[in-house]
Amino acid sequence: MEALIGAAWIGVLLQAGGEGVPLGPRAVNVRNGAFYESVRPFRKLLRDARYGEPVTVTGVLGSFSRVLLNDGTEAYIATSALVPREKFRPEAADEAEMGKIRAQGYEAGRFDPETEKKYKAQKGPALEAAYREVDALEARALVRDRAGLERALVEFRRAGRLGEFGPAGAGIP
Amino acid sequence: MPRILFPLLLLGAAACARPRLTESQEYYVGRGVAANAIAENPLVSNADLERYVAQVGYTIALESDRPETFKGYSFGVLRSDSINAFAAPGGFVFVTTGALRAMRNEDELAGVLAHEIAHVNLRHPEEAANRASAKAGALDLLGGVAKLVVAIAYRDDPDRRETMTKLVEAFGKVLDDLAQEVVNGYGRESELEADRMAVDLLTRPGVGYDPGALKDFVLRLPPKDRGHWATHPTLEGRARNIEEEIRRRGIRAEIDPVRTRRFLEATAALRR
Repeated sequence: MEALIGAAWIGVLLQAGGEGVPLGPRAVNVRNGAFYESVRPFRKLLRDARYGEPVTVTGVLGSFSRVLLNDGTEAYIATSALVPREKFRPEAADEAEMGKIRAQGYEAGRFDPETEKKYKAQKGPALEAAYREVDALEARALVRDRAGLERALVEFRRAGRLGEFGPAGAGIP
Repeated sequence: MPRILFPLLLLGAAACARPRLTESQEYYVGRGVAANAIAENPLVSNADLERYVAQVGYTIALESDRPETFKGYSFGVLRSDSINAFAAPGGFVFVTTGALRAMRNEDELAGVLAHEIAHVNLRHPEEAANRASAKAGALDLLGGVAKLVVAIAYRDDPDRRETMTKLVEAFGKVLDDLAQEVVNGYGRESELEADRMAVDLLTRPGVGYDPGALKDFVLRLPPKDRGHWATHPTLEGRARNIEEEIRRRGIRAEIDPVRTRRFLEATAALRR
């Protein structure tokens, strides 16, 4: 059964790769992203993906790309997390990073920390307080610790009889 | 004209043909929408409830076609009696305490979150942000700023200061326009599309919720809250659309009572 499911997914992968799906050099364009050892039928985390990290796409499996990492490891990452390497432009995540990026002579005011800072100042203390709430919400977002999130979700699915622990996934490891 | 300039100009023209916000710009617009929503209805300070809602949300989001956004999904609970949920650009997803009180089980919560995650997958908040940006002239300004970066060294330049002031004004206009659309819905066809995708997301192998629960919840919305869904199709229309999608996919799913129990435990504080 497992072998059959594996073969079916490899079939999907090869088919997708053979139909003009963009393969080749890409860069990770998200923060808090992750590489997986496998994604079908169920995800298995490999490690966190670094923002800007170069990869080479060798195939596509549904919404994931099969990639080669710099050290030769094969992994999967969400296709939506990648951009063609030549199109990758570092964008600041916060004010501290803004300075670093500027020091490289890149990037000026866009919808970024600088615009946000001026917008907050213009709107006054109530909105500044609300922005602090957004910061706090993001800081405690479970996705900040991907390994911890994946572990918690396995337990959550097990307790709720979902995914691999539900009727549809019964018997699939 | 030097030969190299012509292809460069062509490339530039192609890039300018359809300006769009980048992932990071969308994220900053999303933060603005989230901050404005929180300024109106504060976040509930109940870590267990927020964690529970987030776990339901991530169960679906990480199995979706867009598991990653610029900084990942964030899930929050807003203190409001209004029955509502919405997604802002960048993957900020909110549900109100009123909506949680109106739900009967985890599968209904999953249905509502799947609908919002479907909007993110279908890029409805981002399209709305792009529309609002175009309307406010912000995309032209972004282009203008980019040109300034190329043309002049980055310093305290008066031209740049003026552009920056306009950009901040445009940012405010974008958020004002967008907040309305995000909270009230993206239009009838987009809402139906999000419901159909929600059925798909809920029943993926790594998920496994009963999509019929979304239909049950939609049909139970009280009349006073139907006005809030003015940009949504009629609730009966939504229910039919969900039912047809379930039938078309041949889905047979059930609500497991263990999930209902943990939903009632997690939301107990809201029902006291």
